[in-house]
Amino acid sequence: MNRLKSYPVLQKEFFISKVHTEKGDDMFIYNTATRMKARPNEATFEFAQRCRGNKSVEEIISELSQMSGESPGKIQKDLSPLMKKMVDNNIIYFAPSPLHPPRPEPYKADLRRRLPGIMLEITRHCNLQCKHCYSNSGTKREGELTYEEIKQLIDELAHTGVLNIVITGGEPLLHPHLFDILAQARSKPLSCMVFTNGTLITEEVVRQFKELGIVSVAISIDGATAETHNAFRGVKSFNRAVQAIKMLKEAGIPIRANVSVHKSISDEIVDVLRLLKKWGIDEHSIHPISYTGRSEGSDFTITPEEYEDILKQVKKYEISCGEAKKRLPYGPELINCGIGLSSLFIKSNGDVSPCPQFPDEISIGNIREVTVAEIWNNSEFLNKVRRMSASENDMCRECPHIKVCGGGCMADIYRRTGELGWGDPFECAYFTVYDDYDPYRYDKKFLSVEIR
Amino acid sequence: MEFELIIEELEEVTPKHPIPNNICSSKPFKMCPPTI
Repeated sequence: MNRLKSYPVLQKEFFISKVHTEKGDDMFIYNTATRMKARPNEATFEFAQRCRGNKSVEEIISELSQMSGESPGKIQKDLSPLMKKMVDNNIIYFAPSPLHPPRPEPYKADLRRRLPGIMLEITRHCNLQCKHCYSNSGTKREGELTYEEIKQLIDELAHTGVLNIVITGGEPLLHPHLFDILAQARSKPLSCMVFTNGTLITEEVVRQFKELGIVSVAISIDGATAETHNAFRGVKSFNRAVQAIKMLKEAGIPIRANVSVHKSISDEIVDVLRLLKKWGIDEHSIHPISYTGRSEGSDFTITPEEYEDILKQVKKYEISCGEAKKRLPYGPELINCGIGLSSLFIKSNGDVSPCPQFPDEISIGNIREVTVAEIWNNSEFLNKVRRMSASENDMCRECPHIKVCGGGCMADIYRRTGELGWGDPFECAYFTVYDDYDPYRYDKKFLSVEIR
Repeated sequence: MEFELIIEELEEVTPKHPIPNNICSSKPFKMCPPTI
């Protein structure tokens, strides 16, 4: 095939996103099925946004030549390695004839900074009454968003440059339009994750998740035995969650296990890890139950000291599995936990919160009254926390882990003290145990690498 | 024109950062901030 006469097309799951921010254009080529990202410069963006299948390479070169004033021959020469790289990374392909209809134009937005992710509670209705539920799930909130409102919201999020949406509840599988909502999101440049208690997952649910290209499904595991897990979540919930994990695994859908650490799990944490390994869980997190929702004031939460002891067991187990030096991934150096920088939480009644852990009084708007972009740009609360840095705290400033810790969970500190601040003792416990996992302390590798 | 494209590393599986789990079978991301 004569490449000059062929039509470059972005692969089906790839989208281009550009957000004009205070610090310049934030551009991505993004795979919504895998969350793989590529950062183009301005010239590459100009080429990529023309890879819609309606212009040949020759036509694109001609346009780029007119735009830059460079000769078509030079553009062709410079473009050749880029096209090879995009093909090698399965980002584009070349069609022999024009595509009808062409791939959509890129979504572009103006924001003070990009809003990468949204966590969307589509209902608070839940079939379980977990003792430690952060959101007091069970019954619906008053005035929950309608299906039409959720569809409009998803469209708005896509046009705001959001890349990832997490569908949660309550139990999202109780929402009568869950799969329509997911389909709506997947028709936009949005990757989707689903958080569920797992008890309602069937072969049919798994089939639809697979068909819709859900990035991952998260299921909570609160113990190594049905007795421990069910004591928090209810009769048969452990067996159903395990069954769900097996079905998702067989379908090849990535699974994340959230392990809540409470007083009853401390003696069986290693058994939990063995189970996760046996089930082939793709990722997991281990964290104490937070001081939120129904767990607030309960007697099953653990102390930072108890958390440290549990993490020592976890680390010892990881070492025995040959995972002792598994390092932390690189990321942006943090000034705080990520509040106001990375995501928003939208409740099922439209109220917007900086994250799920803040109490209801910290509502920074309602999507029925203002746009998400207006909230993200103009919220006084968000702008206040964006100006705050963990380095203002004496203890954090002296800590070698500040760049990856950011001072800990600001919402949890607010819950416990009534003030915004840093120095989360659970974070301190974590980094006391995992003090050798911090990339910023041991080398200066940049957060991204270029694949040549 | 100089064409550049940086392919970012996919996240590692191990959580970088502990997050509260009763916030979700729900809390979306393996760390705060999320690495979207």
